[in-house]
Amino acid sequence: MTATHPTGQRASHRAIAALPRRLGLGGQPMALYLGIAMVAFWVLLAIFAGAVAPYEPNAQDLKSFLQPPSLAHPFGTDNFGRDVFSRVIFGTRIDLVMGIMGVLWPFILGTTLGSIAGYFGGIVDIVLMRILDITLAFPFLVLMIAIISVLGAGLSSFYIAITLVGWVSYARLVRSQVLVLKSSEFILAARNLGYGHRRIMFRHMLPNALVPSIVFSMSDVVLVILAGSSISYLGLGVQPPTAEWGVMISEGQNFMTTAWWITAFPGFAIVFVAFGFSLLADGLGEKLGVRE
Amino acid sequence: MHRFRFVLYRPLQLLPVLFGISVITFVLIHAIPGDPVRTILGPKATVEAITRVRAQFGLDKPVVVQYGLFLKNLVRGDLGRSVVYKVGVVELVAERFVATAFLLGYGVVLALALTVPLAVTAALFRGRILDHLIRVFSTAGLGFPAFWLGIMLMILFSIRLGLFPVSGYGEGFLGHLHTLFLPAFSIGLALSAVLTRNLRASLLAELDSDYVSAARAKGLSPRWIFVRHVFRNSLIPTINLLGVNLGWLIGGTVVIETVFSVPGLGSLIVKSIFARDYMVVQAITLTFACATVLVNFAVDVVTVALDPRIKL
Amino acid sequence: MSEAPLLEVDDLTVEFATPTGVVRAVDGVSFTLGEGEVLGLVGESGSGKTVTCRALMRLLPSRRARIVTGSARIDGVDLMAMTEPEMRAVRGLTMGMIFQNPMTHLDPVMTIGAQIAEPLRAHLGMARAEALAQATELLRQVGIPDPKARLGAYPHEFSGGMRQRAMIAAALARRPRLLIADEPTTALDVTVQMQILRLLLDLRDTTGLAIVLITHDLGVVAETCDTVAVMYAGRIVERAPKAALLRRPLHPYSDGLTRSQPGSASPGRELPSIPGQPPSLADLPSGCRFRPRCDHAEPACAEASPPLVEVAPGRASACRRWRVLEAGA
Repeated sequence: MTATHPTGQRASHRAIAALPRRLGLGGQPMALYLGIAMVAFWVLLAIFAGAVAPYEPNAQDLKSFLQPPSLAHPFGTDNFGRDVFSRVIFGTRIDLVMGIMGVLWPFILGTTLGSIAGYFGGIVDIVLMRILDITLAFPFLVLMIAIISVLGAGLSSFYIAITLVGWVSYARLVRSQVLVLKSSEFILAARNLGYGHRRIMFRHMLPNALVPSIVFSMSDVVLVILAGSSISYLGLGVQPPTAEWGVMISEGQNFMTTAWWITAFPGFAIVFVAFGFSLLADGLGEKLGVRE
Repeated sequence: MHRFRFVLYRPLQLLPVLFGISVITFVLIHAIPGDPVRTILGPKATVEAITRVRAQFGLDKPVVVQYGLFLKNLVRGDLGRSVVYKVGVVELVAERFVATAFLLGYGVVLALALTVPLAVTAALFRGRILDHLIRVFSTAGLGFPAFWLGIMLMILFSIRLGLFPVSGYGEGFLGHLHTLFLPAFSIGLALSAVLTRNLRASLLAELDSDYVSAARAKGLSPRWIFVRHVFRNSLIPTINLLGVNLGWLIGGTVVIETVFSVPGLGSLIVKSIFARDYMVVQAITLTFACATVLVNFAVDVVTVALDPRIKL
Repeated sequence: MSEAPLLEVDDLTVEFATPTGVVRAVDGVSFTLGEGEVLGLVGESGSGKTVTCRALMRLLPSRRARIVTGSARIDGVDLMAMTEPEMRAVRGLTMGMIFQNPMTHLDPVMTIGAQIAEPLRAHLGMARAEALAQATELLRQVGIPDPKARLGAYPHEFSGGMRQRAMIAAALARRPRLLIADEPTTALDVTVQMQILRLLLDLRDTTGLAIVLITHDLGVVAETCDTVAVMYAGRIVERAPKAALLRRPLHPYSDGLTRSQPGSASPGRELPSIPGQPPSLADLPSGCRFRPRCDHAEPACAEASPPLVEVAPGRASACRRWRVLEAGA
């Protein structure tokens, strides 16, 4: 139940998009290409973690614990003598999967519910909007940790919680697209030709309706990684000794007076992964003409 | 003032939502596996306590009746007792509510204090180095985990430089301002990344508007036009965005309070989850949800006040 | 009308930087305007009429547009030579401007009264109450009923015609002597159009306001203008008193325009139109710019672009074959 208003403004994207060109910086797709490059880097890093990381993530070496960054250990070691650099690299696997899965399930659930509600309208739509309002009334993170408190801490609880909470954005996006498309000419034509509801929804409407959701999902990955690492930091998500960035930051906080590197580097990793996805989201949004 | 008529109708529309909130909170607690009495009272309950609780919450009766009793207790201001702190939950929540509210308000103020200068600078220096730097900052800033930011700031300013205390709430208003500066700043910095992008885009769009040309044709100075026309128009979508993000913010206090050991509702709910103090978890969830609903309502009122075109 | 013209524009030339190169949107435009005179600036989109007027107000986008040469003198002072602060003093005081779409040219979140009072408060330092009282009076003068009650209204609460009246009131708040009206009636209903044009003429009659009226509609010209300047591809191709131009145009383009007016055709016959399209300013034809579409073109027309010359008292044409048109082809 938030306010909407007619903007009557020109798209700011045109002005912004023209800027890099004017500076001779190569033009509009820069954000997109840089974003793709960064995300590709992290994905490759996750896949080839074993080859890149010099040590096993959980290999303890108690003789060299709490060492500052050095040539042998570029990111230093933690209180168990584990190499932070390797742990950050292996953590990429966990956090990336967390980000992608944490977007995938809400996407599927939200899109399904949103398109049904938008397409059929009536009581189905009203009920859905009420459920949406109620879900939105709870602060995102609070509802998630409340659900996790019931289910017990762990990664699967996290996935269930985020699906139950995160579907809302996708449902809203798809629903508003469907509402607009429902009365568009090509859909009316399909109806006139006697196509069934399911065919119209899947083959004709959904491909168009999905565009804003896909753009949003890129920036949603950022939100999910932040949520996931926050919840793991609190001890409610991924559990130690698994090398997940949020867990590492939590463990490192105990030693922050003497060994700042244990908390610093996992955090930088989060920032850079998120930056890559944010650029990708921006670039994709500009390319596909979707306003924020 | 018929535009504000919705203020009268809105509470009625909110009732179903509040109802739904209470249902979900109720369901959550009852979804916990195990004996609900143990849930409510903890493992060391006396026989009399067990009997009393069974009666009060009607645990032998059908679920619907239990919900009714839950509502009745709610209205009476009784949400049970904390297993850990041994006081009424309502009392506990009320005590710690202020710290969280202070932290949130402080965070929003700092966010705005950062956002407005950054966005205005970026818009006025459009296309130049400063603008690009600010844009990079705000895009990168979207990915800064507030809790990590808090720890980094703590390491630098509390431990290395000793400028701020590492934890707590402080005494007195100025004490609060000092002690809560780092946690509020973490929240504010993360929030300003989001808001700066939006405000900058808004400002640029408004600067290109036709009414700006018309204002220039009246001989008005750029500064007058910026302050009295462009800025006001740009603020509206940004305030809206702030409202949308408040849900996130309120959730964010959970993590930040844990990082900085601020004695507020956020750190309490986390501790209560680990301590299986479920009555407290339920009450705080309920409180946060109601707060979100009220704040969204307030944002709508502010938006209507700022934009005469909107009818809600 | 006094003898010395209020506005003298001489050889005004404006260039734009575009992705395809530098383009001259306005090329050597000259005209004069006397006090209380209504000059119609007529042409298709892209002819340069809007750019000319924005150049006069110095409201062109500074990064892409450049005034290459030319002068525009009001009371002997050249607007093109002024600094921006000097121009700001002139805008609103000596020259005002109103625009085509009043909805987008008014601030949607500020009251009508405040927007009319604005120039009075900003420049004359008037107190709010006094400025609003003046605004009420201005609203009354532009024909808005019950003006005092309307002060607190917002633009979206007004009808299109009332918004345009409000914009006129705001532009004339400091009593400028010249008003530039950029297609003020194009976005309005036909009945409202006439009311607004009538209002502009009334203001001219009561205050001696001189008006440059941009339009693509010869019907508007017929109703309101004293003199007309026809623009094509960045140049003025004909300048004449209104009646003379409408009766007997002396340039093939103006001729084509008058012939294609619905009122001038005989019933039952097809309405003539000018074949072809205006040229792209980045790729102009050699010689006369209208040559590719002209029925009267001869080989000499391809060699050099004919200048705008005075062919009769008060009339100028940029066609070397104007006599053919005068004879009544």
